[in-house]
Amino acid sequence: MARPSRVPPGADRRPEERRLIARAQDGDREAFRELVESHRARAYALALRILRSAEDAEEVAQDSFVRVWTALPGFRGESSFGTWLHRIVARRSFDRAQVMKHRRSRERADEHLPEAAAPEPEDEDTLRAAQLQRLVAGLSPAQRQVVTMFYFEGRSVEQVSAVLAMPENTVKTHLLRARAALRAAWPEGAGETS
Amino acid sequence: MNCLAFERLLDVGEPDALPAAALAHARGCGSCARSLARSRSLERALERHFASALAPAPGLEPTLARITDHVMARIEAAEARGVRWLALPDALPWWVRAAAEPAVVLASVVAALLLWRGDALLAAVRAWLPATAAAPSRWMAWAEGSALADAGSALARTLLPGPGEHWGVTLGLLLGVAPLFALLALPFWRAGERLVDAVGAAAR
Repeated sequence: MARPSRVPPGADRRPEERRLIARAQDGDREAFRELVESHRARAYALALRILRSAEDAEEVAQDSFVRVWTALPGFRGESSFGTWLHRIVARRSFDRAQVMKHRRSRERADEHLPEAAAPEPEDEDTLRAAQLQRLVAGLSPAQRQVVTMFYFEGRSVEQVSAVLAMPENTVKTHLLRARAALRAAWPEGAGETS
Repeated sequence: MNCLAFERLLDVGEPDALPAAALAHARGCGSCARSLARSRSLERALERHFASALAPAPGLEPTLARITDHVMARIEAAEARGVRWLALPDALPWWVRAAAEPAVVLASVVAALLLWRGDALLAAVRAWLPATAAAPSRWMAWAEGSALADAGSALARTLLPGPGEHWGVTLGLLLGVAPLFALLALPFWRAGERLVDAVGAAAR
């Protein structure tokens, strides 16, 4: 017996995608494959931005799509499919990043290794990118999530709020504090050279 | 505009979209000018670090194709086995999840009991067997003795065709009764759907 679509009209702007979602909700795997194909690049890119590891990003993207498939019958379309998917990818990526961070610090503690090997100086851009990565890693988890999603989602506070399921004012506060912290630690020379 | 307000603006807004008053302040204040330059540099570095300028790189297509193939394979494998939880990504390895399944736990308990006190359990079953085997005949005797039996035979006499009836009459009666069975089955079907939905919602 075919179930009626639970995606309200207008929940997703693209009618073709709405049709695919409705078919996938009824168990149509080919429709789901099309959804995966149209969203996989963004999902992978988001996981890669957070995890900085191609292998982990690929695994997280796969896990997220499988999670989407199992949760799809309950998708009511309150947000767009893309936002919903990004929320799942972002959560899984941040969780994994946190687990990896703990694991690395435990391994370092077990083996009495130094904090991190100093990177070989290549060029100014590489050094600056490494420096920024360290600074971002030093932010609180919430600030890190907000900063990451803000630059990934085209600088839209509204979108970040939807993806992270966080009130817009909270997003703005985290963003403000993260910017202040990053700017305070950002080297003077970097500002003067660009 | 003072330096504190300027710093606040840098934290809140975009360094490339500051109001004219703020820019005028930065032109006259060395410290704020350096802050602005640093902010712009940081903004560009953040954009490079996070922005999703995902050009269709030639090396990326195999990765993306692999994502689709693995996702679909996992979905199909799990559905073929009829177990949705196998498709679910989980931090725990599959053998831990399998061991936590209620059916597996129950089977392990039964196996452990059989190994531990198998002889005593078998003796108990042997002792109960005659009583259990006699149960259906006792129920039948109780049913025959009660008013249920009379009501049942009255209903059968009314609905079932007699031995000499034409086959057309039998077929007609069957066709007449079939929708009643369908109507009776519908509430059970709905109850089953509600049960599955509730279990699915709880699992999600």
